[in-house]
Amino acid sequence: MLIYMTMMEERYHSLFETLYYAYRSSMFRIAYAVLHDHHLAEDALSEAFLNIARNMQKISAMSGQEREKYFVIIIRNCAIDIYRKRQTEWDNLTELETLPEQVQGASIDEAVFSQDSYQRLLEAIASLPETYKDVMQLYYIYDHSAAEIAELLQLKENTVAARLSRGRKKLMETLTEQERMEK
Amino acid sequence: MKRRTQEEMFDLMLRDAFREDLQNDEPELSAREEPPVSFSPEFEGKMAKLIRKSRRAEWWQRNRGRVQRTAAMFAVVIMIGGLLVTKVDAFRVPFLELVYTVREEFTEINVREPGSAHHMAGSFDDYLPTYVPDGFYLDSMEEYEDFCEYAYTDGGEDYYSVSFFESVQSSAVDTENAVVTKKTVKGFPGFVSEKDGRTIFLWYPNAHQYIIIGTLSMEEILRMIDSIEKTF
Repeated sequence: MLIYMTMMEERYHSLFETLYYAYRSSMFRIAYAVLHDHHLAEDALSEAFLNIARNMQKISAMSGQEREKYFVIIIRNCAIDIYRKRQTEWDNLTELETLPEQVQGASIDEAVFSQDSYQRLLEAIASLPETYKDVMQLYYIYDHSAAEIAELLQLKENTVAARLSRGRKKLMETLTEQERMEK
Repeated sequence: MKRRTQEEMFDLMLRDAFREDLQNDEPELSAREEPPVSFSPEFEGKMAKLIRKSRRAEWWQRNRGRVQRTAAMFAVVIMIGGLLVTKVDAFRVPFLELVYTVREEFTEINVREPGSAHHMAGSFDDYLPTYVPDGFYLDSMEEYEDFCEYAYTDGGEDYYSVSFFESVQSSAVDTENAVVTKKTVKGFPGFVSEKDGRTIFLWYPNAHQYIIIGTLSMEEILRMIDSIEKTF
């Protein structure tokens, strides 16, 4: 019975396998664009697929477009993580982490969600830096908790919480700023 | 109260806005338009292992209920059989005599002496094939007190594994739509099952057991058996 089960397992083509062969080249190119090294890009790719394998239950329920975006977020962040570990400073990331709060004037109380607010929000999201956008997409689209995002992107949970908070405030600032200008 | 409501409204807006932004995004993964990338053998080997694990995990997830029900059924059958054997005299006496008789004969036949063919002398190295087909390399190995398993891969889709057991294990071979033949090798019995490009070879030299499974031809498997240094 053990041999029969082994044969059945080997014959079965998993969803993970199908997705791996479909996307590995494209994901490799994304990683290579960050790392400019074939072996490091392979390391990022294997780390990304390890993360994907751990979340297959969630991934199997996603639509094609959601899945593709999810994979892009994971491979990009895996590549960035490897890059960050190899560099003593990574200017862009460091700068974003220490950005002062620029949102004293923007609070939820002041916000009036007008009809145009949603359209302006879409525009603001399109121009949001990827560092914030990746974390917020995983939170709002894929319903990951801060802890799950931290594990997926190899970040500290505090960092994830900070990016979520700052991302929201950045979007709110953009909304209220545009409304003030129109008035 | 008002603040909380505003925050909740904003969160709902964000959720909808992010989902709509996703739909408006240009696709960043183009599975078929670009030429494929060439990966290193080490990477392919690592991913082949991950793929096998994923197959196992997904297969188990899909069939866990069925396997558990089958196992429960077997357990019930064995329990009923055991009860019948121990409770019903007509079954019990002849069955116990059979076990007792077999045990005695088994013991007599298998008296343990130094160098007995029925007792594994030396390490696993003596019992394993030294021949490895071209292009294959060792992917993983597991060694226990009385059995071992070595898995090989060529870094692509071809693979095989060699398992050696000190004593014979109960085995079942899937014969549905398969070609199963008996084959005597070096004077000892064996069974070959070939199905969908995969070969399974079971071989029983002197109360030991070999199981070789993989995408190899029977000729390659026989070369492996020939390369075993141990004389049975």
